[in-house]
Amino acid sequence: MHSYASIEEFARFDTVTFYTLRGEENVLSETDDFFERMGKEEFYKRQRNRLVQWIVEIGNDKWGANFELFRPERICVALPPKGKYLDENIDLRLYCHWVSKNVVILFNGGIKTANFAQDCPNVSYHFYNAQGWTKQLIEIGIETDGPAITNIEELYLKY
Amino acid sequence: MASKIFAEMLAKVEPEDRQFVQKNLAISYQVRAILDNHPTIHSQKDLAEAMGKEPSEISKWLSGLHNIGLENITKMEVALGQDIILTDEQARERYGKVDKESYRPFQTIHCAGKADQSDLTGEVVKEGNVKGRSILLKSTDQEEKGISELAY
Repeated sequence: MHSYASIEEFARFDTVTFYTLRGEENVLSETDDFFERMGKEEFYKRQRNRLVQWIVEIGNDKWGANFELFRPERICVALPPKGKYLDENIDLRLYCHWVSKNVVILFNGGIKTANFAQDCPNVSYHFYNAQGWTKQLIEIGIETDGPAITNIEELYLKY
Repeated sequence: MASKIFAEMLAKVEPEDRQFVQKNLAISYQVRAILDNHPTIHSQKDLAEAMGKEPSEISKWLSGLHNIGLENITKMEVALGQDIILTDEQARERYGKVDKESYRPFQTIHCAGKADQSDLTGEVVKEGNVKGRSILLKSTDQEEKGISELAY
């Protein structure tokens, strides 16, 4: 038997609203779970800080969440942006679905320790979940009005 | 902020990390703005060719998260024939001096040890050209306190 998840607002900035996904029986959203886990990783404090600030900067960017500010990951994307664009030592991955320059849905992630997400024990689970949720969201179709999702009640996903 | 956990994370971001990301993105956008108007170098690929670098390396520098470094910024400035960054003093010399008695808007205040709420004069305002909350800080007070580095 499947459980289900819904979409809810995560953080709203000047130009971008970030949404997240929450399983119907879960206390934490997927992205809250990510940040709560990463908050305990003292070694990755600087990377976490920069990722958090990166989200804020994208959110307040006058041009919105340009696609190039994300890292393509099959049918979804991830933060921080693509490997060739950044310091090699940023190992955190937060998977997301880029909807528009004003709407991004953040999922979950972790500390990537292998070359490929599929091979990494920390992030492969989140990588595959992100692919599946993105596929469902594309099939349902997200309707937006600027930084708002207007059909959020219809976005009920298998979890 | 809908997520309390994210708000807590945001509050814990060190001023240095915040400044790093903001400065890097600002430099990245400045280079892109120069490329949009440059007579001969129109893209990151052109810039890479002018500098004898791989386009991927220039992309990496302009990602917003890469530690570009002053040496690489200078190389880009030489290739472009333009300044990418100006110090406050250079900007004043180039674009005119600012009246000492005038008030200067700040996007945010990060009180990194030197300033506290009592240092602030003026009021919290909404500025048309400044995102979010701005706090006016009297420039003379700012200079006396030696906190000009807080301005950006």
